Amino acid sequence: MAKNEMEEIIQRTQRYWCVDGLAEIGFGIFMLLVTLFLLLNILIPHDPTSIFLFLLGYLVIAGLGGFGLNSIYRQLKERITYPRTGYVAYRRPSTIAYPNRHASRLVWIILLLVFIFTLVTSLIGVLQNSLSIGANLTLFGIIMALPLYLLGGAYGVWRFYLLGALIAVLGLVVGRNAFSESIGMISILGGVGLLTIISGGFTLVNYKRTTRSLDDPSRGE
Amino acid sequence: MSNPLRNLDDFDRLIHEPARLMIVTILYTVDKADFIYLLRETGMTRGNLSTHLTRLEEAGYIQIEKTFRGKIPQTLCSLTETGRRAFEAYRRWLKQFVESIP
Repeated sequence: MAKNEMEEIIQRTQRYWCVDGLAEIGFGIFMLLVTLFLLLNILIPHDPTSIFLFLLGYLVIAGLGGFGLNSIYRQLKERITYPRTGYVAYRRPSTIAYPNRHASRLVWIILLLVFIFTLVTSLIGVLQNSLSIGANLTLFGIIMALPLYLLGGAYGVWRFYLLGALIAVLGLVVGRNAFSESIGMISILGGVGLLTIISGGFTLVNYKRTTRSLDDPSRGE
Repeated sequence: MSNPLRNLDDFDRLIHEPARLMIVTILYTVDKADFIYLLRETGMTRGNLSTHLTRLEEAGYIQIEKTFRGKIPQTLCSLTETGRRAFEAYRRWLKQFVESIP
């Protein structure tokens, strides 16, 4: 076997996690939830009590949403993917200790959500005075597209490049038609959610069409 | 200049066999993979795959675990530390061998 064939096998194994589109669908739903909360942030009155209750609800629902999505994701993998093309567990960093896995996951999910929320509101604040609204939103679209380009390059998945391009175009379109920066950014985030759900949906349909469940071959062997 | 053909004596013949090399390459990339995944990716028959897995297990390169996923029996394979080091050594040998050819 040639060296580049080995590398191809390694890369194909590394990208197996996205073969069924379920991760994209889950991420898309997550982005829609984030969009919903940002929209509510605009609509709710900005008195201290409302803001406190909103943030509390945000943390609780986002945390539950994270666990809920993860649980649904695993169940769908068990039902759809593993019987068809098999089960793979990827290696985890062996040096990190998890004394309480659930508490650690909850903390990471909350931190991630706070980070996204802060990033979005900070971007609005930082760029507001330096660029036009349209340029801000176009730049935001490019920023949202960048991780997908990186994923596409890391795993050799062409549809991530396509998704990134569509998100960048979305940023451009929203930027040209923007009425307010916050609404524009929320529109882009919502568009990211919808596009990834559509991409994941097509991938899932194609995956189910081209594969079928196998009985476990070790049965009776 | 060293004779590259002398390097042919140094390689791991167990891993060098194409089917087993494919198995070890896949397992090197992951923590565990089940029989179905290996069957799909290698394109072997069930009997053929079982034979190669047994050879690798006997050599201490892989570990095979018979378990259940819910009520469904599952065969999980993982590379041992010995297997991991053997694969890395094989990759180094392959790289050196290819580079030594004028």
